[in-house]
Amino acid sequence: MPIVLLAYAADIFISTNLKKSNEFVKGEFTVWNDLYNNNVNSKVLIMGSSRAWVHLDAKMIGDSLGTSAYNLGIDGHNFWMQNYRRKLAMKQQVQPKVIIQSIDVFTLEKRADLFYSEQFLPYMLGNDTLKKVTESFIGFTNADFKVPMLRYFGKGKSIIEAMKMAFGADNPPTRVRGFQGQEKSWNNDLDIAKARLGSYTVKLDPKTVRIFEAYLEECKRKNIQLIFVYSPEYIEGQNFIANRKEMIAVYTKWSKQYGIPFFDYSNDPISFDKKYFYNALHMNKPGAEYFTYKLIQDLRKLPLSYQ
Amino acid sequence: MLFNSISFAIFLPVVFILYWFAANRSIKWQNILLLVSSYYFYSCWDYRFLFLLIFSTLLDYYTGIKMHEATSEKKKKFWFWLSISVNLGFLGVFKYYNFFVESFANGLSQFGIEEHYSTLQIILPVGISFYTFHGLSYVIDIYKGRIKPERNFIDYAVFVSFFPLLVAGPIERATHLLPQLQRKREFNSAKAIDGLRQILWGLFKKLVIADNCAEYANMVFSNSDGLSGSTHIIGALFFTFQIYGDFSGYSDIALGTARLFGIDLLRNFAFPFFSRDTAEFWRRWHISLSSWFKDYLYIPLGGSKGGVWMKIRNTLIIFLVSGLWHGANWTYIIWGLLNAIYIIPSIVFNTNRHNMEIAAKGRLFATPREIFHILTTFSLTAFAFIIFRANTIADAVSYIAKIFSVSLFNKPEGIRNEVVWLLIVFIIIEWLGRENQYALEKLGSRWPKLVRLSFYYLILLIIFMYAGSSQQFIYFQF
Repeated sequence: MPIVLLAYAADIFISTNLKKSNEFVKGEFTVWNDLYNNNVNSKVLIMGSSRAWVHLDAKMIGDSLGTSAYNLGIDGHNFWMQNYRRKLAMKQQVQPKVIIQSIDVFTLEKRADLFYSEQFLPYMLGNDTLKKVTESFIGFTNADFKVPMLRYFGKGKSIIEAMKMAFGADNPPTRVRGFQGQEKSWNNDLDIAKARLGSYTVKLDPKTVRIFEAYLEECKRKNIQLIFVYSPEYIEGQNFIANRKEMIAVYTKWSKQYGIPFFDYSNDPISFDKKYFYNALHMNKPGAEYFTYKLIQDLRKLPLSYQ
Repeated sequence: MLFNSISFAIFLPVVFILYWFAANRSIKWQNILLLVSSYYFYSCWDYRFLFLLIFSTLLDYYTGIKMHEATSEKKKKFWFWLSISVNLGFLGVFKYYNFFVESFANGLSQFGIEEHYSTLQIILPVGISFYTFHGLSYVIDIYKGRIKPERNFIDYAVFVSFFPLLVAGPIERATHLLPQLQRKREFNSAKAIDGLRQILWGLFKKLVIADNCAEYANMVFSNSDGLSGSTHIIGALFFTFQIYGDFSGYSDIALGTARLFGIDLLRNFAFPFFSRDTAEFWRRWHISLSSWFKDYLYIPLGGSKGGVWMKIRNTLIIFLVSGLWHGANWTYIIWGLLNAIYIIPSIVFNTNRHNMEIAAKGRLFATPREIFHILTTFSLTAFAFIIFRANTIADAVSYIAKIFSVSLFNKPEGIRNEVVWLLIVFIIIEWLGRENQYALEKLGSRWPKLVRLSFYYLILLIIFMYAGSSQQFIYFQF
């Protein structure tokens, strides 16, 4: 019994302090905290993967459009996990009127592993919804959601980070309304990928496709204005994907079917200028700012439903 | 059921409590409990192969008695060869069928003969190499008249299937284990505590060292393109520590677990990375296997009697067979051959029995000469393990070629600092404890109790915090 109580106390202590960290797991805790604490409350939501997270400045969008905006972009995850964030956001007091869905060729894939699984640690104990969302990934077991401290086994870095937060270590903010511009210059990720794989063929996950279609239906039903945005992608990275055209065609088909505006910046001049990117898929901070400005000009041409 | 799993953490105390509190009235009940537990343990892997294990046990039990009762040499040989051929037959089919079929077909194709062949979808039963060798050693010892057959089936079955050693050894001998099973075990708290200590150290080696090194090694070996030569070297080194941590860690857990039940198993590792030459390395690495090959293959082939050429021949045979024992792949055979090549000079110059005691025995520091020899032997071992780890010979050659590239002097990529520190701490503890059965055996025995307990809790905390993502024990595939 004392061991069980001690385990619960330790679990609460570590979880409470760990989620204070703004830098750990690329700042994902700040977004999860806002979602679980009902602090998103925005009329404009930005959804997507890391390309949403680093490309779309939510504060700039919100200020320019005269409303509240929040970027729910999650690093390394396909639509399956993006959708979970959206569902949490939809439980907030302020319901979104517009969703800017950042799409790319990988959106409808489903990775096998639970990328950056540490980001879920503080929220797991007794969280059946999160358990359901994550159970199809290689990551956690049933027991991790029920037994205190079990999920922290082998997570030394997380425990140390929690201790640092408990003792008041420096904790500078990283994300602003979910967005985080990257002060990085071009690296050799693409060269390594080309050397290893030659090219890459995207494989659609059927269940993710069904979830995405259900999401489109839900937005239509609830009069949420959905906008597809394919943010700039460096041209050499575009050529790396063997079936890119087929993937874009899928989104084009939905765009026509559901009347969803589709802003595709694949052939925008930004996509041809390496200085705006730090790798083939991701723009750096200057690139993101420039792109967000362009997107705002294009959004202003639409009648946006929150107005 | 892995040793480092929650199910084993529940299984072990239950069996322990039943063993010492319910079954301790007699040897019979202790052994029955061990047998039932062992069969349950094995069936958690795959219950279908439990029948194979039981069949193998029954076969050797029966043929052992029949050999002993045989009235003529001819009948004795009949039962002997029946047991050998069935045991090796099972091993051959489950482990080597596809390998030989494919190798034969590939060999024919070199001569322009294209043969269409079919391979079987065969699942390799866990531990088959280990329990088959248990049985073989028993049968051979009876045939040679070294032991009498065990007539108590339960005792014999426990010898073959005792759960701590069932899936990855050590490969026990009837002369060592059976007498212990024939005596009633009385609880000895000092022995049990020592067992727990060895389990703790085994878990540290497996969960912290092996599993963390595995993450890096797997990354390097599977994404070789684009990584620098120095990264490839570190990948090879990490794999070397991975296989040591994994296998010796498992052995420590097995020995420690057995000690909880009052049973001593054969030591399997004796700090092989402090060896000063390859011959010493093989006296310290997977001792139960190398001694099995020495006793049942090397010595019957003539051993060290006869000239140098006979010794070289026998050494080559032993290492080729040892390589093949590890798996149905040319990489294991070449790995075995390479180790034989390493040892041959010491046979020729008669220096293979020079380093019989542990390096720097009785001293804290090794001499520069000892350090040089230790590092050289370790480097040769790590180099050979590249071939062991690679999926094919071509992959191994490609890996080695990448080491010797212009990027050899680049900074290695992707190393986690904490893993390096953990390795350093691990090597220091192993060095300090090298004169004992296992590193932690007597380390801190002179410290105040509180300090010693705090040290063990610190190890436990490190295991909790730094356990790597779960990897299967490497030797389960053998």
